[in-house]
Order: sequence, then C-alpha cells, then structure tokens
Amino acid sequence: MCGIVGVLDEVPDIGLVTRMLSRVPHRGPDGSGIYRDQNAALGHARLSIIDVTGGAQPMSNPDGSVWVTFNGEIFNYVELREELRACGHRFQTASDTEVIVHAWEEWGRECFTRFNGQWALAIWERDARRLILSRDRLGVRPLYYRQQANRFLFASEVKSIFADPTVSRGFDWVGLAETLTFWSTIAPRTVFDGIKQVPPGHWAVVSASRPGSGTHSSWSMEVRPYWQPNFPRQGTEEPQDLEVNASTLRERLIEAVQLRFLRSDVPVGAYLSGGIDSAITAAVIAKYTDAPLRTFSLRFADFDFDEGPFQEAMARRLGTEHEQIVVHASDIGANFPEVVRHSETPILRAAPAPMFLLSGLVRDSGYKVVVTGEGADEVFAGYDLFREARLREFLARNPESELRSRALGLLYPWMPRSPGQAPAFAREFFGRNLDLTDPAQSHRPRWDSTSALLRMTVPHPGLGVDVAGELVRRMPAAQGSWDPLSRAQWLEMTSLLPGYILSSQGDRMLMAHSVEGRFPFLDREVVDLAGRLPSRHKLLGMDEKHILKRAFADLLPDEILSRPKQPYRSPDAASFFAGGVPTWVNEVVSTDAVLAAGVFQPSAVEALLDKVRRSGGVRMGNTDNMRVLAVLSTQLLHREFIAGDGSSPADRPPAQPMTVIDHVTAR
Amino acid sequence: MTTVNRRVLDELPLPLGPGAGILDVLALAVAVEDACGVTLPDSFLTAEHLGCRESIEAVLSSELGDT
Repeated sequence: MCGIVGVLDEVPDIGLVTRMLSRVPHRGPDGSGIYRDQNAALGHARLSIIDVTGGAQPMSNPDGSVWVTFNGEIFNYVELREELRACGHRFQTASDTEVIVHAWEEWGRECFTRFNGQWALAIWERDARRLILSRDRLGVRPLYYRQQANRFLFASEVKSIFADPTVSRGFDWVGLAETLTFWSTIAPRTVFDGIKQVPPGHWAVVSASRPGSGTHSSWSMEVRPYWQPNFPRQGTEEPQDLEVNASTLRERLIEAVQLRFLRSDVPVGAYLSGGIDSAITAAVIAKYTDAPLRTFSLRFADFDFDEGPFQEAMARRLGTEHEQIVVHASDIGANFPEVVRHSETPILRAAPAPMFLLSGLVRDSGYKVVVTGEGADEVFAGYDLFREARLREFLARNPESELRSRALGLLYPWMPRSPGQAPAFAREFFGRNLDLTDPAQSHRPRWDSTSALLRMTVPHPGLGVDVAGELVRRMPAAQGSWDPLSRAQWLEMTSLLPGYILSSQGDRMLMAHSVEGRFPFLDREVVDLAGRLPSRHKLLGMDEKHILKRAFADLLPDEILSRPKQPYRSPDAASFFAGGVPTWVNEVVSTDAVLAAGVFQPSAVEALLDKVRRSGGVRMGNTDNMRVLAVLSTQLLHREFIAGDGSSPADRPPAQPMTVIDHVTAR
Repeated sequence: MTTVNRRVLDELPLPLGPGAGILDVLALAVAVEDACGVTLPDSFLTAEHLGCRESIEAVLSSELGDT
C-alpha cells in the first residue's frame, strides 16, 4: 500500500515529481523512488508490507523497457508468479510488484482480469512511449489524472496533482451536484474541474498523439472496462440450493480472509465494529490461522452510537488482544479539517472522522495492516436501503392497501423516530416513486432527500444537471433482465461504495495514518459468487445478508447473529455546535468565506447556522445534519484546495531510503 | 409446485411461532411474494394463511395454480 504519482511530458521535471510525492508522505513513510526518462517520470511513496527489503519501486523488467509504480496488493501473486515462471519469466524479488511487470508482458490487458486484489497502478512502456493505468474492480485504491495540452499527470491523491502550479483549481459543478445527490461523484468525475479518476474496474492507455515524431503535441487517452458488476437474468440463477451456496460461500470467504491475513511480511490486525461482517472476518482468522490476532474497535462516548458491548463480546469469544478508542463529539470537530484534507471531497456525514482516529490507534499500536468487513453490505445486501426497496416493492403491488403499509414498521427499528412510530409520515414518504419499472426505484428516496441540499446552492447550470437520470442511462443494457435487488446493488456498487465507503471512509482515513485496509468481502471470487446467487439468498424477505449468517452461524455468538442490523453512525452537527465551537468553523462559514467559495447562498447558510446554534446540533433531522456537513466540508475543501494550493504543514520530502533512476541526467 | 417454489418454502423460517404478530406475517409475505413472484390478496396476509408450509402451499396453489 503506497502512493503513486507520475508525469508524462517532454523531459518531465523531476522537481515536480518530488513535490507530488511530498504531498502524500502519509501513504508511504517507509521509502520512495523516482524513475525518469525523456518522456515519463514515475514516483512512488512506499508503505512496505510484502518483501520489505526487496520491493522498492518504481520497478522494471530485466531490460528496463517496462516500468511500474503500484499502490495496493495483488493477493494471488504467489500463484501468478508460478504461472509466469512456467512461461519462462525470471524473478529478482519476492514482491507482488514484480509479478505485475511480468504479467503485463505475458498477458497484456488480460492480466487485470487475473489479478485478485486491490490496486491502482501505472505501467510505462518506455519504447512504445505508452502509459497504462489500471484500478481494481470495485475502487478500493484511488487513481486520479489530469490531461493538459502537453502534460499528463496522475496520482493517488488530488493534492499531488495540485503540486503542479500550472494546474488550475476550481470546482466541477456537476461533480458537486452528484455529491449532493449520491454522497459521491460517479467516476470518472471528481469535484475538481479537470481532475478525473480512472473508474473502478477500468484500465486506460495514454499515448503520445504523434508517436515517433520525437515531440508530443498532446497525450491521448482511452479508458476501457475489464470488469463490471454483473448479475444473472432473473430466474436463471444457478445453483439455487441455499445449503450448497452457503457452503461454497464459506469456502470462498475463508480463502479470501486467509489470503489477506497471511500474505503479509508484517503483522496484520482486524477491526471489530460490533456487527456481523467484521465479526466473521475476525472469527475466520481465529479459527483458520495459527497467528495471534489483535483487534481494534471504535467506541463512542455517546451511548446512542456506541457498539462497545458487542465488540467486547466478540473479542472475548475469540480471545484477541483488543484495543479500543473512545471518540467524543468534540474529537470529531477538532479533527474534521484534517479529515476533509484527506478525503478531498465534500462529505455529508461526520462518520469518516472517527475512522480517521481509529486508524491512528492502529498505527500507534505498531500495526500497518488491518482486515475489515467492508463491502459485505453491498455484496450481500446488508444495507437498510435494500430492505427499504424490497418493502416498497411490496407496497407498490397494491398501493391502496392499508394492511401492506403497516409493514413499514419493519424498517429502521434502531431509529429513535422509526417509520413504525410515525406511520402516516412513513406511508407518505416511502409511498412516493413506487414505479416498479424505474431501474433506480430503490434509490429514489435517498437521492431525493439528499438532493434537497441543492436548494441551498447558488444558481449554476452544472448544479441543475439531471445527474440521477445520467446515472440510470449508464446502467448496463442487461439490467432490465435483472431482479430489483441486483439493480439496487449495481447502483450501490457504482456510487456510494467506491466514492464514499471505500474512499472517504476507507482508503483515505486508513492511509492518513499509513494503515492499509484489506477487505475479504471484496475478493474477486466472493464478489463473483455473490453476483450469481438468487437475490433471496442475500435478502430473504427482509432478512439481510441471509446466506452470510447461514454460512457462519457457528462462529458467531447469538447476540451478534440475531442483532438487528445497525448502520455505522457517529454524531454529526453536534460534533461542531454542541460544545465550544471550533475556531475553524466560524472561519469557514463567515459570509466572506461563503461568498469566496461561491457554492452556497450566504443567506441559506446563515439560516442553517441560526438553527444549528440554537439546538447545538443535537437531535437535528437527517437533512439538516447533511446540510451542516455539506456546508462545512465544502467550505473546508475550498479553503484547502481552491483558495489554497493543496499544500500542508504535513508535507514532507519523499521518505528515505530513496532511489532515483534518472535516464535524463545520466545521458 | 415448481422446484424453485419448493426450495423457497424450504428456506423460509416456518412455521411462525405462536406469538407471531402482524409484522411477522407481513415479513413472511414480503419473502413469499419476492421469491415466488406472486402478489397475495390482502385477505391472505394472515397467520392462518402464511403460518406454515402447508397453508402457504395452499395459497400458492390458489394464486398461481402451482400444484
């Protein structure tokens, strides 16, 4: 796990590549490297996990014609290396990076379908003057790029691209509209004008537009998918047997956990959230490996959010060495600017901030890799959104039925104001958009309630774009034959998972403290198996993750197995207004700052602030909480990356040991 | 009874317990409708009709001709 950067240019500026690396010292504190020739420069900040002594990057093939800079892990690299050896390839190191170089030489673009892992990588073909970019299937690792007239830049984080002073900095208004609707942009878009990201499951070729001419007027780019979430035609799912499927799932997931726990040259810990997913991963480690396990948990001082008793029950059952951090609302307020600097996007929940603090605990405990349960809710239909959609289908089959509407009482039992306690409101709210022919029927309530935030913004054509319609038009043609749950899963795996869960709440919060997250539920084999299952095996009626519970019932205590699903939540607006208001809050929401950012109407912000100051942000509604978070994070983003240039007091020279292979000055 | 529907009934948490309330019945109805591709009349959304495998088979037979 690392940070990567690169520049294509006529004699790339090695100082620029160095500055780009200096923006991401948190991604690679264990070493660094730069490769440069007449057309390309690749940079690497290393967090050493596999082949600690031999895996320095950028790394090349034996004749130096193919170079790679790589962030992530290819978990099946041992098996791939054996295949490649059988094809005649010779290896100098024990690293997975070298496998990428040879896999590209042997299989070309097909290598990406053979990789089982989490990666963002760049391969430079020196003689062809061609750059290959690739990102893992579901977007665990980030990869941004910027195309300019004569220069192409790429990096793990946007702040590295902003290290080039010729890159203009401004908001992408459609990107903001997407974020204020879906909670994230839809790749390749970001919230920064001119900055794009390689979409998950895609690879790209960047080549000189005039190859062979000796000079480049521009760099052209083609982006292509190598994988997309896929589901069978409804009614054709095979096999259908629940017991067989549960048994197969158990085998696949055990393999996925073992790959992620054992394939490391440094100790690996595990998160315990109190829910089923992380409990399964930790339990599998405890039962199917011999290594001692250290677990890490996040607790809240506020009882409403705390899952400590469940975490401790699981840790006791497994006999792990257990560490926990207790987060107060004020901790969230104090750390939020740093959280936004790392997330590089507006965030509509404060929930990433506690994850930032948790990764700090992991690092302080001497660990730099953790296995977590991330992805299970998307792959095995654990979210309330899926239950809600299933129930709305039930209503839609007979919208006039009073009896059916009583089923809304099954939703959100953990909420203080659950639908069952306010049936008239629930019927009105969940009874909207019941058109079963709408491919996005599952997501309309969430998108509608989130996009209410756009009413606070200034008028701008980009903010008026029908982003929901655009996303629906991008759904695969085959979606019409999928069952409704599959359509909902596709939408979730294309929007919230890569753009928020794995990024703002995942990679960015982990890597802020130089910690790598590994996610067994996003294993290639597990995801493909889940995609083939009948939807009822994932969501049996209203029972979420049904097959997962079935497959691992023997490893979980009843109190966790039978616990109603409770999403991970943290204090939101109260983090900033319940006690002493942090100084930065008043700075970023001043009328001058709001006018300078130019996103929100000052009068709307003022009205919101009046409301939240009166209440202290306590017991505010969902939409108001999102409004507060949207304003604060967008204003911070503007201060950091648009008014500011993305640099930070945390920037550091590339870590030592540093290797520089410079074919320009060597000539 | 089709193979799929037979499997569905095998997988459902049946029979409903003696203390089952209307929410338990409705949760079961959601599962049956989704998995079997049927819309049940409201009059069938009762513990009497959905409380055990035999009664559901009778409902499916009535609604789908699924015998």
